[in-house]
Amino acid sequence: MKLTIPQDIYDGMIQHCRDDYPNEACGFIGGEDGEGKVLYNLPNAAASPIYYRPEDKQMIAAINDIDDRDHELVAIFHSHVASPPIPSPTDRREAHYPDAVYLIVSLMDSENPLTKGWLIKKQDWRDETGEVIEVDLVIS
Amino acid sequence: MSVKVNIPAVLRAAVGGSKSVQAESGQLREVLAGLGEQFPALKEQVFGPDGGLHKFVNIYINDEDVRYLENLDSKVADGDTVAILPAVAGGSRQA
Repeated sequence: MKLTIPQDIYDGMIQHCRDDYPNEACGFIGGEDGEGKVLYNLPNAAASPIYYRPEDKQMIAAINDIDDRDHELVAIFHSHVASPPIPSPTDRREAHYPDAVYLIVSLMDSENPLTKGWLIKKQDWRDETGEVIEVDLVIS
Repeated sequence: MSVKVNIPAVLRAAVGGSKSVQAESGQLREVLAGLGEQFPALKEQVFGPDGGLHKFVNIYINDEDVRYLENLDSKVADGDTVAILPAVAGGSRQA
């Protein structure tokens, strides 16, 4: 599987992650057919360097906007401020959107953020464990 | 008047593909029970084994998380919007 993200959306996501440092940042990308089209930077209600949970009202507004545009939630992103862009046990347990790519932006090297994308597939979307599959990212 | 219930993508198959469905107003448990009669597969996925909301399912009434209202006893009035959303969270925490 492949996810294509326009350069301006990618840059906006990275900037949001930098702005929220030293806490983790989070947000959504809406789009269709594996292509990101709209960036939704969301506040991290957890305000934590090791955990994220999008603020409810802005998250619901983003979901509604994605629906209104007839888009899909193509990606859910967050940053890891001091670890590689690999799903942690928390990321795996709390992933309940099997069709969305989980993008992780690592700010370990702040000058050179590294982003990877993952599908987290579970037998039942409510399960706590599942298969992690890396997705090819294309920044266009 | 009735209540609009927004359905997330992962649950749309349980309601015939719709982005939203209509329900009768009342306590949230009554709203969900009514939906459960129409859409048994939706009920199965929203509730946990203890009969309460599944821990990874969040429900909002007019954008307010029902866990901060009165949970299943929360009032849903005509014209309100209910949103069902799988939880979104994670992070580098190791446990």
